[in-house]
Amino acid sequence: MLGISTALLCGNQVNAQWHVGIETGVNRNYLTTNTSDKPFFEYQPSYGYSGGVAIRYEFPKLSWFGGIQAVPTFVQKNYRIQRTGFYSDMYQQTTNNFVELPVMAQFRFGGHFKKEQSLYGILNVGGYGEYWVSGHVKGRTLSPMDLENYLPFDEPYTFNSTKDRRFQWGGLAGVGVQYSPNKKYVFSLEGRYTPSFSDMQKAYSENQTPRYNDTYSLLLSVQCQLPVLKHNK
Amino acid sequence: MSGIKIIFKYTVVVGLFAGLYSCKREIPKRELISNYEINDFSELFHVFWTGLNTNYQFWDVETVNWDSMYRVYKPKFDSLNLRPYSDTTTNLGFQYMADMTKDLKDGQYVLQLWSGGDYRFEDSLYKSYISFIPKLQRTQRIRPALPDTLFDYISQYNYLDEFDYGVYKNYNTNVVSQITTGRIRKGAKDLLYTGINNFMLKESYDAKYVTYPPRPVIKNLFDNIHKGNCDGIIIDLRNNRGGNLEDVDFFVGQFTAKPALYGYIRYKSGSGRLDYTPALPLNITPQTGATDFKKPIVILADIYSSALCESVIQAFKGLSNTKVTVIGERTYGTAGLITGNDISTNGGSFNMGSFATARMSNAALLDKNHKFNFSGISPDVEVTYDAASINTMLQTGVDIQLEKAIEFLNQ
Repeated sequence: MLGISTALLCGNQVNAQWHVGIETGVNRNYLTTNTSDKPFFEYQPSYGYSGGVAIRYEFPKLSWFGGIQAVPTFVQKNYRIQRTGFYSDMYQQTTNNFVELPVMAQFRFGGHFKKEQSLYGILNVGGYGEYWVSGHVKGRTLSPMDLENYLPFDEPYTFNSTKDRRFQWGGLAGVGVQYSPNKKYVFSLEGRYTPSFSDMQKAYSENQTPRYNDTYSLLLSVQCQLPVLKHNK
Repeated sequence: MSGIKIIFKYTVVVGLFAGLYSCKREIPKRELISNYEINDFSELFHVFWTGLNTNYQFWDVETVNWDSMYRVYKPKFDSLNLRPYSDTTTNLGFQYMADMTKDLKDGQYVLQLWSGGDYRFEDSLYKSYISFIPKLQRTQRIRPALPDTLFDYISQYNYLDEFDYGVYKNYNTNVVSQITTGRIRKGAKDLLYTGINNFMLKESYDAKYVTYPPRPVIKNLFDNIHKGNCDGIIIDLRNNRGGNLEDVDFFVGQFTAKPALYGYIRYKSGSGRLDYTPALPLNITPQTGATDFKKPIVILADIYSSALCESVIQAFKGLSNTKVTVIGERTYGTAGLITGNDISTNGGSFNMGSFATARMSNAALLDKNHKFNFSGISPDVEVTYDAASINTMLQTGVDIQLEKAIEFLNQ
């Protein structure tokens, strides 16, 4: 539906300022905290994916400035609790699904290299806010009545309103390349780092150790310029 | 003009990065509890508070406000450092620790101060005590535990035919396990009886070189259960304080041919106060030769039936094809287990240097309805012992709880 709408919009005369497109990617999320009080225990990074609608407002007179971009996105930020050493059979894989709104300023370096084609290096800097939608936990833990074996589990995560923070925010910084074969379409490939600046948990206890998602993404984006709306005079 | 543009451009970029950098995060380094030597009372407080904060299983349902304890008691422990170290300051420290934890729900909670000390608990002075066990001490105020030997003596001489017993001692823990079996001689019905003083059944079944070997006694009991050659069975678990976890399946698994859900278990999943694994189902595993036991089962329980014994009762109540009735008193109310070790379970007991130890559940147990068993399992038919009825039992040899069980099964 989104693709069809975008294609229809791109089929007509274009406005030089608005760009709309799709951005998808894969990421690797690191849960940053301190676990040195837990032996044989570590948080490990996990892969996830993202998909969103990119909307960019470009200032044509500022060729170095790619504009302001917002990308309402569905994104996974996953991590794994892995017991190590003697306990390496036990783990918990956590999948967290967010709706995220990254907003960024885009800086460009480079320019046209053929008549209508351009190739830019891009630098995106900004921030994001996100809303936790759902989660899932899968893993294996100790079987209490039979210590030779383990209990598997695989179920939705139940949000704990005392502990879990639904709204989180953070920064973002990305570098990549942006290629335009003509004035209508823009393709970009970007590596983006999105550190969270808000603890995943609410401040619900004294001496709490914060936990942050640090996400490294590889993103592919296709955008097209929106048509100019003609007004009858 | 282009120079101004370039300056503007780089100012914007640098400004944005500086803005992002200003949002830097601080993550304090944590320390293993076992790394602390406890050099003063402030350190003792830190380890005690943190250990319970991270290792305790029931914070999500606990009524004790642990943050409030931090704010109230940290200055008190700090102030103890300003006084010369003496028995008085040690006693005060013990008293503070007892006061902080006296209302915790975990029935496995034990605080042990290795040098011993004095503390007040519910208007009584406990002098030169090593241990503070609030749940047990409250239970003992209801009535002292009746010795296993008393029930054994009365059942063996006044109620049983074909009486048999086995005794096993674990020489590492010095715990003695005894199983008594027989047929009730009273009433018209043919009733099996077994009394188990703690759950070391599988261990004692596998033990060799035992003077009064439990193995043939247990085997004979299980054969009778598999054949169902009785009109009902009385399982006497009074004063049974629990034991080995494997016994849930080993014992209750003799009564069913198919798995049966009887509860849920969860562990800590991290150092956060509310980090828990999901509650995972616990099922009875049928044992070799087991069939569905269709005859009624009566379990005798009292206020000292605790820990794994309560899990066994819950497991019996999980049997879908069997009528299980608990007669006697409300059980102890443990709600947690000690299983595996405290590293594998991410929680449970911890030491405060060589000064003290806090022992508690490292796994939380929920019943089939996802409820914790803090106040014990209610009997279906309540028959309680008090000082007067205990005196009568001692004089007449009539066990009113066992009498009620026989009467119930003969109806």
